[in-house]
Amino acid sequence: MRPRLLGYSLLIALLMAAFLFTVGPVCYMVLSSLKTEMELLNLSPTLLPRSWSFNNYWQLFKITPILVGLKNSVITAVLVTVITLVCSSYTAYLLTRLKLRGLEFISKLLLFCYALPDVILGIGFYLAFSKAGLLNNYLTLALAQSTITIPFGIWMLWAYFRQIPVELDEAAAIDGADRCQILWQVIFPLAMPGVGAVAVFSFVVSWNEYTFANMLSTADALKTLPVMMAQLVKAEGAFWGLSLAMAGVSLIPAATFVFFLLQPLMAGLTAGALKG
Amino acid sequence: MARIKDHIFPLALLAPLIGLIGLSFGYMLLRSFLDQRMFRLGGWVGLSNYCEVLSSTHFWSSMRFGLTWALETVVLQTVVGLALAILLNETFRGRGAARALIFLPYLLMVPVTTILFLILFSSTFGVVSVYLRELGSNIFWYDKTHAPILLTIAAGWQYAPFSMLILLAGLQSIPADLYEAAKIDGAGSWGRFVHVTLPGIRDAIFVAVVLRVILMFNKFDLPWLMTAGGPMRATENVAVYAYKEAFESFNLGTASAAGTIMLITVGILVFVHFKVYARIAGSHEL
Repeated sequence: MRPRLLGYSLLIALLMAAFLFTVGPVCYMVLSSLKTEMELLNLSPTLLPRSWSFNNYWQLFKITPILVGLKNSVITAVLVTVITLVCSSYTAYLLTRLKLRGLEFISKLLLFCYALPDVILGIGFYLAFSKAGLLNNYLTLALAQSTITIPFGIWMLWAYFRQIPVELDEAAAIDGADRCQILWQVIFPLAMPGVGAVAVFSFVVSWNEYTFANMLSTADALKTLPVMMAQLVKAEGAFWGLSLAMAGVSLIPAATFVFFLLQPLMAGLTAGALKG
Repeated sequence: MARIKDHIFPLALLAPLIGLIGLSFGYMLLRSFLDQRMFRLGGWVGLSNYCEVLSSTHFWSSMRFGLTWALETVVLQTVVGLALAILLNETFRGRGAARALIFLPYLLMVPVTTILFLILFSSTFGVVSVYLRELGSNIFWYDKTHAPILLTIAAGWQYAPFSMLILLAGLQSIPADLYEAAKIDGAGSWGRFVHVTLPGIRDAIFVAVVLRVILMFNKFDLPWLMTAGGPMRATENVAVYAYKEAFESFNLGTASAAGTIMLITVGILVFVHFKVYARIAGSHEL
């Protein structure tokens, strides 16, 4: 137990302030999405809606192609999650078990690419994909977004898998399991928090990703939610109610997953990044 | 034999990805030497695209803004993140939920952050603006000095939780008995903070600052959606500059050249960061 630095009432006060500045604005935004357009544009803004109305949400589903956007976002995010899990788990597993120089080099190279500007990567992808006729394609968009999530996944799972003793593998190998079986039946269950965090994080990153989606999906039928949302916002505030309702809908994955994500993320950070 | 087989499968998974990145960059590099205004792919023009970019005042002003903005917002993120990390490192009931809630802004999509800041800071009906107006100061998105400040606050708000996460992980790796020892030696809260906490999270602070500066220098979606580089290019960083060259001026030659220049700059920075970090982490373990 760590000695207490702050008094109890001071702690409560500081926590309240922290909530006010971080989740406070998000709550205000969600409340605002339940206001009428008239009330939104009022020169003296209200905190709570005067009359609670779901009209913005109703209109959103009636007049905007949000269902198409949701479909595209879900398909892309699921693809990204699957690609990331398969690539990063196998790589991370082998990195912790064998000394493979080539694989180590490629993983480091990917980590390096992770820190390069996404917009430049996006322009490169755009040029190459448009030449090859691969724009407006779920799979290529998912691959582009995987360049963000795979390095993260490798690094995170590497930290988790490293803590699992090799003796377990050997015991399973004696029982006749091959590497794939060991990975799926021995390692995965033990590293479940880490694997879960990578899956959830990949989903959320893809769900939120704007830069690649904006450049690589130019057809209306293939636009993901963030791109649609940006179009609404860019229309110079003509559609406040709709934009806020769309923001409310787009929050759902993040607001659901945030409670499962933090602890494993931090465990990965503690085990991986800060201890060399 | 098993080793070779082990090697092939993950390489087969990762190689396409590296290939994709490599090909795209290679193709971009090639196009930076071609003349191609308005979709018309012309011939080899040597370094003239690079000359055009490097002699453009917009490029240099975007470089200057990108660097100063990255530094400013990372200072804000780190200070706020450190305060949050120290607060959430205390033991109290419901700490896990409190951490998760405070982490939430990091997981918002950037268009949502954009609309959030528009309704908070809108000159006419934003809550914060209205409140500030009653105090006698007005906020304008179209003001050359206000827009960068709003952008700094927005990035600080959205990314401080991530700095918090890194620093919290650092704080948790400090053994509790160090605090006990300091207490026995008669150190007060401030003394413990300066002599135990800060040295203990030195590595975490290094990561939270240097890597964040690089990532913020790269930032495209937030500045693009919030201000689109305006007013009068006052919030245009290199990422937005390159994007505008490609998708607004439709000059893919200069866009490719600007992209290549940015890539080399950032590549060197990232390389140095990893090298320095490896050295720090290494010296720490001895």
